[in-house]
Amino acid sequence: MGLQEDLVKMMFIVMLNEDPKPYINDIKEILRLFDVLDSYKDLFEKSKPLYHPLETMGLPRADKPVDSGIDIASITKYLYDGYISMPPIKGIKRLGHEKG
Amino acid sequence: MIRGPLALMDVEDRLKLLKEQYKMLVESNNMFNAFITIRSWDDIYVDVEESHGPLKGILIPVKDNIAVKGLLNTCASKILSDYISPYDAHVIGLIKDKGGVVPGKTNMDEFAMGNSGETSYFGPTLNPWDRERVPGGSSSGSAVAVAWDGYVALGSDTGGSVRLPAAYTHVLGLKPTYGTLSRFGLISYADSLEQIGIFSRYAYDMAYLLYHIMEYDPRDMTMYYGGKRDDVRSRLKLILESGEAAFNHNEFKVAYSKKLLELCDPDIKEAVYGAVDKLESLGCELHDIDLDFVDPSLSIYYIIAMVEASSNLARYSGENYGLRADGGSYWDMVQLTRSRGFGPEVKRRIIMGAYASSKGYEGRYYLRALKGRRWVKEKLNKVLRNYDFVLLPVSPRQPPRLGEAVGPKGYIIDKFTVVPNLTGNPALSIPIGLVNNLPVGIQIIGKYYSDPDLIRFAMLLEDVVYDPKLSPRRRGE
Repeated sequence: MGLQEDLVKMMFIVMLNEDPKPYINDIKEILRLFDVLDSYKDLFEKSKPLYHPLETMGLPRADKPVDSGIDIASITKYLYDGYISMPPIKGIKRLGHEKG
Repeated sequence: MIRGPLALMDVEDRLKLLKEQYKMLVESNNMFNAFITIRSWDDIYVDVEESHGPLKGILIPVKDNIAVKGLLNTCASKILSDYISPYDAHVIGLIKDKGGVVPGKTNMDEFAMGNSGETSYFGPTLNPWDRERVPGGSSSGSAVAVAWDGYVALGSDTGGSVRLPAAYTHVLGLKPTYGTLSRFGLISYADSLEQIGIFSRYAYDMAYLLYHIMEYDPRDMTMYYGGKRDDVRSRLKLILESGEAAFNHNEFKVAYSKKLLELCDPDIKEAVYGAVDKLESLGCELHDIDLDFVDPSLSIYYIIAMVEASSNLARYSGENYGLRADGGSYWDMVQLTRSRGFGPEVKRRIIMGAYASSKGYEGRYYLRALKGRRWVKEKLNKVLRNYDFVLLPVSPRQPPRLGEAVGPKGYIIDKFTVVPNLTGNPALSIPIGLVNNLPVGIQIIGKYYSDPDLIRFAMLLEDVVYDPKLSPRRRGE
């Protein structure tokens, strides 16, 4: 389960007051489901990967940018010099301030 | 009291039923936890008064992963529990433009990850036929709202999330051809698999709503457009103008598999065979053939869905919107936010999706699943060159009791529904009655862009194979 632990860190998810035992059993069950495809290895090998059902990959959106009419500044909690600012994070000093 | 398709009524009659429609929705919420947000009667009434268009007088509950401006858009997750959408999804814009009103947002599995309606941060939805059983998911609330003497609702279908709860609650559930309805405003879980879908009591209402919300949206680059779209709309219009299916039963040639039916519980198997016999007696041509592509589809589906989920849900970091936990450093904040904000099923899928696509494992899992996906697509569409539809059960078993199907042990329930999500084909779940006082459904999968044919097939079965007026609310009447 070494890789699993690495992935948990990489995906920024940790166990919080949860019993890890059923979790590990669930993960083993999912891996068993994944491993079903081992028996199809030769059958699938000749096929090209299909990322999308209608194979419409990499198309740009057909619309043109328009003003949404939404006043972003009015619904944004943190602004700095007219720009949206990163919210404050405990222990880190940042530019920006909370409105009003 | 159900009086026939809402779409066939004139506006005055619909308005007379408005209060009744609303009352049913409130009841479905009070008794089965079908809604996350339900609007007040006064607000709804004002909207209806001011509305104009073909959908006037129709209340359309919407799954809580579809954006409706000014309403909570939680995806049934703690991480978005106070997020209010600043915009309308494309389909919602069309509904509003055409006079429809959204009365509320329905309960669902968290981020649509689940097939029982139990993983919601706001508590499980209950099945109106038996409150100790699940209504199916992930679009659990929308299905229950229609089953409880409602008419239409919107959900989303990633691996059966419309068709399964439709079957478990005795209503119709459509997953349209991929690209029919804009996904703009549908919060992504696995974007190459999911489509907005429709629940309805009557096939005519389904055709009517689909016709009005399938307009092209340039903001969704995966929508199909041009001749095929026009053709689907004109065939839907034909159905709406004739008011009935207006076709013969014997024009349909349907493939099914006895071998796959053996995998179902005996009661389900018997009910599906009963439906097959009935279709044959109506003049449909049914053929037992080998549908070997169904077997590996569940594994292919879960690998692809989890990989896409791990990518799509990376945006919930506490940085831009939704829940933010207090952490020491920036990275601690992100980790705590995600750990507190996501429920167990979402965490499982994110971690396993990252695993299946990580270096050293992607060849064995993700890449193999993508190759398998093409294999399944080619196999299914080869069958559909010779047949109009493929018929499968929706679920191998009847609605599980609460708690029985949460997590990986419940994945098997998706065995028959995931195929059209992998391939993009349209599929419709049709109720075939009650067994042990619980609903059972069949699923028909059609060729690309054959959505109108699926609907008229359901029209043929209406009142013959299933009773659209059958409702848990009026049992025994």
